[in-house]
Amino acid sequence: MAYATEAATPLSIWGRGDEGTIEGISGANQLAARLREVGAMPGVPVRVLRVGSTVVIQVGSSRFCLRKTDAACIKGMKAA
Amino acid sequence: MAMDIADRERPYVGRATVAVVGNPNTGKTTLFNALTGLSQRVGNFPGVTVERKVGQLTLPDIGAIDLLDLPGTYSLSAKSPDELIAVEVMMGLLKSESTIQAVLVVLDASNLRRSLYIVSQLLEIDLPLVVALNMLDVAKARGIVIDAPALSEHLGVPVIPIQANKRVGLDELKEVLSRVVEKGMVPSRKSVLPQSWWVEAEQLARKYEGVSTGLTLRVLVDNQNAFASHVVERFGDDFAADLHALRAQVNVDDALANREIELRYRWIDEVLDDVLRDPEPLRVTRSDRLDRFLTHPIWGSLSFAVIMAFVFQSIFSWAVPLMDSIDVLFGVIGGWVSGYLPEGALQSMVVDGVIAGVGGVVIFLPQICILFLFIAILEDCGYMARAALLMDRLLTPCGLSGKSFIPLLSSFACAIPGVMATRTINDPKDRIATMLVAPLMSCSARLPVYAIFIGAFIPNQNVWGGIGLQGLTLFALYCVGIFVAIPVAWILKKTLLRGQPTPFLLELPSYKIPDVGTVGMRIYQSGRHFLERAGTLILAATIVMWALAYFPRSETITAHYESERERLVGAPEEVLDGLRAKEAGEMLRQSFLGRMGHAIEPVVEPLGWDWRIGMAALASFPAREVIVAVLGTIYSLGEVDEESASLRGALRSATWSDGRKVFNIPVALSIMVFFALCAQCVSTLAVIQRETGAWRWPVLTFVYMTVLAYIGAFVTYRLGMALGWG
Repeated sequence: MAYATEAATPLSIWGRGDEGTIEGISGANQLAARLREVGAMPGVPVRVLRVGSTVVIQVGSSRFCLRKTDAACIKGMKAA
Repeated sequence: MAMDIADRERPYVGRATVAVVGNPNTGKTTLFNALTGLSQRVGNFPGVTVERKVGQLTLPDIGAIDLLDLPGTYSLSAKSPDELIAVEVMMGLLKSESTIQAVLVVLDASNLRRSLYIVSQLLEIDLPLVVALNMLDVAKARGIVIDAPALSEHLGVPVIPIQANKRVGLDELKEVLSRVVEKGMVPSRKSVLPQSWWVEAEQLARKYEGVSTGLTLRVLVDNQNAFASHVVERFGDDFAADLHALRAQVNVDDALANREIELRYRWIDEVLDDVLRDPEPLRVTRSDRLDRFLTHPIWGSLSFAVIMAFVFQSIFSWAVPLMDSIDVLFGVIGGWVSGYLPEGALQSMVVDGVIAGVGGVVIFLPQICILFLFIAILEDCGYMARAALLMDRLLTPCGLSGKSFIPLLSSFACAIPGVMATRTINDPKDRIATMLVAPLMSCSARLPVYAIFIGAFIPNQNVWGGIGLQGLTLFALYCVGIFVAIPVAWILKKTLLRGQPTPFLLELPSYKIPDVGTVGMRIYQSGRHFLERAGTLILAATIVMWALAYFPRSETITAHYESERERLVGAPEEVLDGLRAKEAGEMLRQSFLGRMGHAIEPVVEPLGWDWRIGMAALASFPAREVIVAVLGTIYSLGEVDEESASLRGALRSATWSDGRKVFNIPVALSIMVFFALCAQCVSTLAVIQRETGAWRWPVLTFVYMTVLAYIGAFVTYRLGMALGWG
């Protein structure tokens, strides 16, 4: 499968409706810490619900909106 | 016998306090309202201005206890000032706060994984814990199955399934809460964190009095967040040095906080393996489908505008019958009082001052209630977070974030809670910038001002599909504040409060049917607050203004009109009425208020105002609703015409000394724009001073708003006249 060789990409470049799993969150700032605390941990399913300057992502069963620039710190593996 | 009674009666002081905690949007407030009802008191935490809500709850065995509603938080690792309060209370750090005997944690069953994070932290702080598993119906509808008894077994604390909005499971919850509080059942600590962390934390805790191991563990893990910095500051340099040494010992790669989250989620996932069946975690819900439309860049913004226009139109059209009946009621009271009180200063004070003034303000109670009905519905159904999302786009260019939108939105109700709500903003510069523009949002106290002038001067005509010109004017006035706030915030962020844009993270809760109890409570509290203000601040201001408008009584004027009346004995009633009106007008003009008014007339004339409007606006600097009361008093002292018994009629018939009408559409608009922009609220300025700890910010707020208000009113008046609306 080509899946395994594909690299994780920042959620900020995902399209609307794209889904996959979280690979990790980079950065030691409070936003990164809060994202982890609300469950954005490696292996958790993720989907992009809205794109634009403010994006909406679904992490497990919760939905969060954040800026596109901030969403770049979340890396995910897009499902084929 | 006496002993018996003393035994049974639990004294108010020292009775149990239970804290209600949980993630935002878990139905925490709905549960709190359902349990405490009208017994709740809203105040502030001592020394800080986060809203503190306490209610009374009677439990089966132990009687009355206090329930304390804490700000929603995702974690005990506090990142903003309001989360800090919640954590401080639970850790027993807020000394003036009564000690917490137990914690009631509310979980969202449809979001169980995330909700369990704070539970895993709460299990380690040595307080009895009860878990209320809320929104099971939502979870069930999505095909999520939760085994509550198994969850209880894993956590080692009682788990009670409830549906707060339908009041289901509350009796069982009370019973269990009663048992837990009485026995003080502390969960046996089965920490998911390494034993070595606890050993180190305990060592540190032993060296300082009044410091618990739970507390030292938190500051050990929380590197440099709001909570850790606060504790270090509080316990001094020695503590800081010890903590630093300890961190160096335990912490090899400076990622203790990440390790904590990892360990907790590992434990949560183990628990959920046994407890939760969720066949499709990434399902598309009805909320998602709605959001495709409601958060759409074009359709979403358009629906936002339509929703707001509908709200403002309803404020007018729905309130009319209720306002008319209040108007009639005050008319009857006024007539009745006039009949009983002897003519003179006392009768004038009660009838022209209190009844005409305060009554003129109280009339707007229905509109205040309708405004809060909509605010409460939009908040409770989950729409507000979407509005914040849409507004982030507008706020980012001015250097603020959608986070600032929530406080700004609260400011539409009242700037005071709005300024307090800035505590959710982590960045201090963003926080101050938000506070400084918050008073530009049209608060509910401006509503009576808009309502009286729109009602009297803006034609009630239909523009398009049930949206009328009056509603649109009101909508436009609300927009004035918003559109002025944008450049003001931008300038502030470019000059005095220069800084980097801060991150923005906001949860979008699922849409739900608003809870009747929660909405009702919001309307009740704001209505009561409005009446209390009318009965205190507005009443006092009205009496002062009445006195200024009534005194001094001129003997010469009275004598002149007495002789005039004697000369005209037998003349028709209209002639006598005209005479009385002339006397009243002359009396007002030579009163203290009239003299002051003429002194300031040159200042307000460019705005199209006469001295009466100028004085009413000046008197409204402590609190803007005063203008309605003062106009009521001035016009009921200055006129005796039966036709103008209502303030609206009095305004319509007011004339300049040369007989021209004082009011026309440009004048009404100029007054409303002035009130939309002016900083006429002492309480707001005081709160800004308290929140920032510096006088320069409220002073700056006052100066820039007042200057903008004058310019805005001037431009509006000139533009209106140029367009031929006069």
